[in-house]
Amino acid sequence: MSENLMVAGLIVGSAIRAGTPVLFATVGEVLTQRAGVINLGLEGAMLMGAVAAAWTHLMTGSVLLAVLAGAGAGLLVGVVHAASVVLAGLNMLASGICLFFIGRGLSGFWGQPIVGRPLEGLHALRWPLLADLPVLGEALFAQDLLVYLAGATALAGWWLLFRTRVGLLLRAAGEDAAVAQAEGVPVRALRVASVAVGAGLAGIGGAHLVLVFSRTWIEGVTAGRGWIAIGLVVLARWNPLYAVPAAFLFGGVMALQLNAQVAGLAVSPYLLSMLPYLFTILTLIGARWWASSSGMPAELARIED
Amino acid sequence: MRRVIAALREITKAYPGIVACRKVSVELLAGEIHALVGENGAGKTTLVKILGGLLRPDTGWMELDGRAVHFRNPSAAKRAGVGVVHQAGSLIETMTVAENLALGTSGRPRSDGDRVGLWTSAVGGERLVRELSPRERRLVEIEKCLQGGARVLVLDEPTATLAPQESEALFQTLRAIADTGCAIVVVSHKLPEVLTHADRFTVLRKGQVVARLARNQVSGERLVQLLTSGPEGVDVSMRPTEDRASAATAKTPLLRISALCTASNRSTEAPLQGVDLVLDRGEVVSLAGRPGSGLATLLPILYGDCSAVAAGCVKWFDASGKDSKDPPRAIGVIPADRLRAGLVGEFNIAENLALRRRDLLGWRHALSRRKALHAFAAQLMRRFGIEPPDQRMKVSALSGGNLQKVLLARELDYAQELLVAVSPTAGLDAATTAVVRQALRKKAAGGTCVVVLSDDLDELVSLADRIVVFSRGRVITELTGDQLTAESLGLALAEVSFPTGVCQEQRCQCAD
Amino acid sequence: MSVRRLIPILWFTLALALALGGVSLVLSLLGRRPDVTIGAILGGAFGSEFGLTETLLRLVPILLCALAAAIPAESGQFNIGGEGQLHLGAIGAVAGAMLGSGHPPAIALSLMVAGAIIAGAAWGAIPAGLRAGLGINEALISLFLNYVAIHFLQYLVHGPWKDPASLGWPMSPTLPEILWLKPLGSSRLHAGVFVVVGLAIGLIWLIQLTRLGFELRAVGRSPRTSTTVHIPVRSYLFGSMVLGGALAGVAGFYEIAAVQHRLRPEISPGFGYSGFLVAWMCRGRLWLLLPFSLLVAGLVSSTENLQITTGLPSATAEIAQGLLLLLILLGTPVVSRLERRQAIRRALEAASE
Repeated sequence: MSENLMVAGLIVGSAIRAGTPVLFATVGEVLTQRAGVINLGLEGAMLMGAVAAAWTHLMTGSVLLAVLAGAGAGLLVGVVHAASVVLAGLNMLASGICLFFIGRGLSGFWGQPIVGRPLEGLHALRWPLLADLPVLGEALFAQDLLVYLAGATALAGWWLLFRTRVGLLLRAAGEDAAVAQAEGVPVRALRVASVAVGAGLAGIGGAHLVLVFSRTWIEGVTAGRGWIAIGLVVLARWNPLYAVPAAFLFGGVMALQLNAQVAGLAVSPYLLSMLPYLFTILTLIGARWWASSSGMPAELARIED
Repeated sequence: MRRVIAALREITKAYPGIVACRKVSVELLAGEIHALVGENGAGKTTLVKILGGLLRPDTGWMELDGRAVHFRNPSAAKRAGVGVVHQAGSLIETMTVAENLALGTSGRPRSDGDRVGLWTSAVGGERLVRELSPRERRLVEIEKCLQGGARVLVLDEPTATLAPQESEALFQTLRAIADTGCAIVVVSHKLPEVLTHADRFTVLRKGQVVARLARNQVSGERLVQLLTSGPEGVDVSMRPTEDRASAATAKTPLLRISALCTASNRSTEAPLQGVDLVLDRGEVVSLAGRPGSGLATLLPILYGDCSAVAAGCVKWFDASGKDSKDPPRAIGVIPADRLRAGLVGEFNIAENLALRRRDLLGWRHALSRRKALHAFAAQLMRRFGIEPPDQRMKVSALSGGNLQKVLLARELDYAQELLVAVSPTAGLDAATTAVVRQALRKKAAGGTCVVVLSDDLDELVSLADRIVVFSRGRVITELTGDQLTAESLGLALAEVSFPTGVCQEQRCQCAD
Repeated sequence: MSVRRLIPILWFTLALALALGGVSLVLSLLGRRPDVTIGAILGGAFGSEFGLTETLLRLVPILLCALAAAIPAESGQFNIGGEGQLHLGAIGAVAGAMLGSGHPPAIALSLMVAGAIIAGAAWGAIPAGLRAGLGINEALISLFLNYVAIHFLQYLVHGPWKDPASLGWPMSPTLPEILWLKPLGSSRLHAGVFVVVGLAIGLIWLIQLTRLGFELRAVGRSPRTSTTVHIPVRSYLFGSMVLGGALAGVAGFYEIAAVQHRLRPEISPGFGYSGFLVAWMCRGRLWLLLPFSLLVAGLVSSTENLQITTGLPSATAEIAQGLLLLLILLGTPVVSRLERRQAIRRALEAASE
């Protein structure tokens, strides 16, 4: 009995861990989209963050520096996107896709020398006493620091958007930029900041991926997680708090995929690999059905016009 | 003696080809309601924009408490204490009242009620702006200005979409606000209202002040005289008498709707509950109703889409008056959102005119270099005086008046039995409005039924032979003849009072 | 060639030079191959007979995938799923070959083509249906389906379709030689290049000059107006996307039948994505599809060969394409303004005559 509980706890813990990179990216994209900008280059930002973190970790051995490097690389991608869209007036969908390609190519380029090199990475903390609780212990109290940081980020994101003046202005920029501008809201500055921060968060997500999940760099290591994050933003109804269960669900699918073989399921691993993407497609379809109002910032809806 | 809070001194503002304001001086006193009246193009909106910090005058200056001020942007104007409520409204539809109020001041969003304030306490802070009525929106905007510390409140056409009773209530609120020491400026073309409520008047014509009057010095006729060189064009709700004469001739029916009910749905639009409506060929009918009254549910039925019909009878008639099984095939539509729902902005004029004549676009025509298309387009453009005559010009580059002319040309050419026009003269200048009105009348005279929908009461009254008023999914009254005034329409829409017993006859004899 | 048309060409040439320069810069900054210049890449693409045939070889899938993205784009949709649709097309072609084994080659080949078209179209029908029917954004769906398709192909070549004679490498058995499309001359180039170029010209003509194309473009530029004038918006949304899928599927067919002759995980080095980028570069100017596909095909071919001979990182092509698109997009407002000025000047001249 307790063995089953332990396994359950391990799987839940694995789900949380697997969902953490996506949580970072989703919260980041929520902030960006709330300001009225879509960043389709999130995958590129995550990849750049991952490769920067991998390199930095290999060169310095420090996890902190690696995470900072990841954040910085993601931030850079975000700044380029913000500059193209907000300052140069480029079509935001096209700019994002460009950055996806450039980010993917650059990271593959840059990471070539270190492909497959093992990384010491970040290890989990075990809280005294709490970690031995059944199920919850493994799930919540035996994770690495970045997992807790991700949760804190989601909370902070929610608090920023809905409980501070800056968040009010940011949301105004995303609901009706023209009116907000007339009210003196610094729409452009807010958008640049939110795009940059959002991509920076995605970079941290990429860092977590290489430092904890894969513990090595391979080309395209994120395997579409940046795109999945964009899909999860819809599921989370543009609320950072709801990003937590959304990312956790995704993590659950990944955990299923990883542990299915261990559990003895005789399914080809390649078919299992399809699960995360199918899951995201289903959530996009489902979001359409069960929500009468999506919660989408009005400015984004205007792009479709 | 009241104190001068603000003043405009010798304001001049010019644009290429037009002088919008010429040496305009206005004094605004604390505690009074000051009306700025003038025709379209007299310079009122320019003055409002200057007051609000959106525009800088070429010469002249503004004074606040006796000191000259220059506003570099709207924020500066707000900080100085000038609040402007623009005609288009400056609220974010998808946010709550409380959030919008917080936006206009330096507060943080709170979910409790004290943010909401004096004048909007009845409105409710948690409601989304898009659910508010026009009157409530005005109140929120005013509240926002006042909470931002406005001592001068400028309102540009505040009662444009309000019924007379709502306007009355709004003015009473304004009076109360003025009594607290604010100076209030109202820009309006609705003379009866300002005559009742304003303390002083500044009359503008062609950018210049032609008169400054106090309430006891003014009357309706005098104002009209001052505003124009003639009586035409001021009170848009007045219609030339020959229009009314044509309403009397007998007509053949086009559509009869009896006891129509639609299924209730989750939208904010009311389902129809037993609607009776008759549309005759050759007449211009206005359908009036506030958002949510059920008009939006009726519209697809007019276009022939009866999928939402749950009960009742919809009967179309052909030209000879016999039952026709199907709705007419050529129903013209002039939507309210002209550029985005009626035209394709990136296409040129010829292509847009051809949207109803796509047979002219086939590949065979491509071989002949599209001669037939160009001839067709040229013909339509001539008929409606669309300038410039280059049909290869992209429609998105056209002025508002020309946009509407293109749309009108296309739909009038296409429509045969029925033409539905939504807000056809909104935002157009007087000359183009006259062109549109004439064209619609002419089309009706040719046997088409023209249906007009609009938010603007004056537009509804000026265009139609009769008005059918909807509310909460039913027809509550019909206005014809002498009752065809904005006043009675407003009363009916607010369900305060309306002629009863004038509803459509139940002449439908279908089995279901 | 009118002056108006020259402006974008000049800008795009400049953008290309800048993009390649940017790539050289990146290369040297990352401490690698500073001696690889623009000349080497371009020369490799077009400078020799071998280079040219290799370029034209890749023109087939890239042009097809560009069309696969461009046609839905005319209806206002983003088909990023060309890569997945290509994979499905390849799978469909192999399935067709399996079905047709034992039959005369003409029938087998027809089955291959049909299989590729149906599979690609079906893969495109998923986002198409979701968009036309439920209004769900097709870009993300088609993108996720790429990943699904790639994994599905992996599953097939590691599993049920694995060639037992391939010594553990994941790939399907080689197609029988009678089903191989014959190359022209001594290079790998095949007659498909003519088919594809003809197809492209035909489709562009269709979009620009027929009533069908007009309605499609109207849907893309103003769906609300199209509904008002009774253009069947949903049909065009669905149909254009399915057609796109079919075209990418044909690219898969050619890769199997004419180039690789077996199903492998490396069936496409990102042709679908390259095609998408090309389509975006040519937005609003469909006549640029051919030259740009050729250009990008040259880029891809040249960098691929340089990778083998000089160790140039394979991601170079990807960076170059992304940079190229970005630079082109940055120049778009400038180009549009110049074009508009030209158009006004021409109108004034016409009016004064």
